[in-house]
Amino acid sequence: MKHLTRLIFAVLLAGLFAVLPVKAADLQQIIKNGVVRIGVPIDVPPFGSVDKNNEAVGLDVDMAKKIAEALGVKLELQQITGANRVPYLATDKLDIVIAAMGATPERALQIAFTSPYAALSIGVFGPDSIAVTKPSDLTDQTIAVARGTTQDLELTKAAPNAKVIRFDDDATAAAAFTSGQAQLLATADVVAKDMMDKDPKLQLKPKFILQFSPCYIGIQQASPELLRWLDTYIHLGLLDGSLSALSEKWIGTPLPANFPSI
Amino acid sequence: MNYNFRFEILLRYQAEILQGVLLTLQLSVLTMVFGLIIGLGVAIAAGSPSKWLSVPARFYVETIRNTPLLVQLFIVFFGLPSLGLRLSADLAAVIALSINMGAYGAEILRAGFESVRRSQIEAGRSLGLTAAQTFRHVVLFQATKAIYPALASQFVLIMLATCVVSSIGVTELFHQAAFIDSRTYRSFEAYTLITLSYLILTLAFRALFSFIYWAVFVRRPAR
Repeated sequence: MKHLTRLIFAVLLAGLFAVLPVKAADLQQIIKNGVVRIGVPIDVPPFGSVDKNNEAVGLDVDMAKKIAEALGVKLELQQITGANRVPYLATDKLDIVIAAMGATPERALQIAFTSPYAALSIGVFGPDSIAVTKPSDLTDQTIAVARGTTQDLELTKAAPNAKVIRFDDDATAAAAFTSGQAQLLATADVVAKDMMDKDPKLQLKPKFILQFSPCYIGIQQASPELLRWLDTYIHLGLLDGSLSALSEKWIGTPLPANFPSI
Repeated sequence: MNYNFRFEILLRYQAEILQGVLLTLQLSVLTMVFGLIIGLGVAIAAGSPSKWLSVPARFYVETIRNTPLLVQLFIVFFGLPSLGLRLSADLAAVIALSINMGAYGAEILRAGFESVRRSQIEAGRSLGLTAAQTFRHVVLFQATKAIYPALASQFVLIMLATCVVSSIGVTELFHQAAFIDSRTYRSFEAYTLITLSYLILTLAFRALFSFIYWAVFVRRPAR
């Protein structure tokens, strides 16, 4: 009799879950499930890519692992693309998306954003031997840049009298730097890091930042506890420098001192 | 079509355009001069009986005429620094263009030399002129007259080809138009303006070459 009651109860419960509309898994639910479903990109190095052993690696993957560890639950990694990261959250296929995502008011109507955990920046890069820390320090140093890009426009705005050589594209601008035809290179920090990884003799240290775009973690709406927990986690990561170390490891530059929060 | 032409935007970039025109002119004239000097030397070497001169000269002409100018330019600008030779963009442009012009010029000049009949050279030699004197007084003048139109047309071609050097950051006319385009998004206006500029430059050069032809070959009776 006792067994039968349990059985009926279980069937009813299962039926209840089947007909109920999908509801966001908030913090307590995730902990109860013992698993957190996190989406990461595999086509956006250094945020997420696939290594030789076909495993996802990158800043976002590290971040996902650390978050699962801090939550004390198992990590279920899902590979996502730029196009499906918002739908994955909106249809409850994922709890969290960490995918080098920029926040926009339109996206924020669909999903909720935490405070930024990393940032992509564009700036001027070059060797230690060139003592430049701000646009006004530029005198006769030549700076290579791809014409018409954000870095070109921002650099022209910040240093109108600098000796800027404009090339057709990023590859040619990079070639001008690597061949020594230009002493500095205006580009994205990830590009500078990638160039140094490929040729360790190159020195592309950040001289100054021209513009920076923070990356945010996205979660389902109506999960305030998870949002609060993630914001707290990011806040503490900024305080103890671990997020900055993560940025340095993957992007090549530490986070700036005045890193913003939502 | 719903496009509002706004050519007045280009007025803001007068200084850039003028500088572009001047640099294109400088590049063209320098390339013509150095290219012709290289071409003359190579044409003489290619026609020389000595294998040590003719083989390298043929090799140079064939290599340059069968590879893209852009590749030659990139080798001079991006490649040579690896060998320790770092040239400014402007200098690299003049060198690459001159090397290119030299090969075509050599081929045109060689055709001119060959157009002078062997009997004329023999006549020169039998009159007691040295080989060098025969070349200068008999061959060079007639050959130049024969190939003048081809040479003039090659000059115009190389002037138009100078726009390639914008890709190593030389701020010539095309580079300035691309710069204006990247700032104003007024592609049609910017490129129309430089099309006209190139057209005017070309017509001016053609007029100049016609005048030189008249002054050198027509006004002065051929000897």
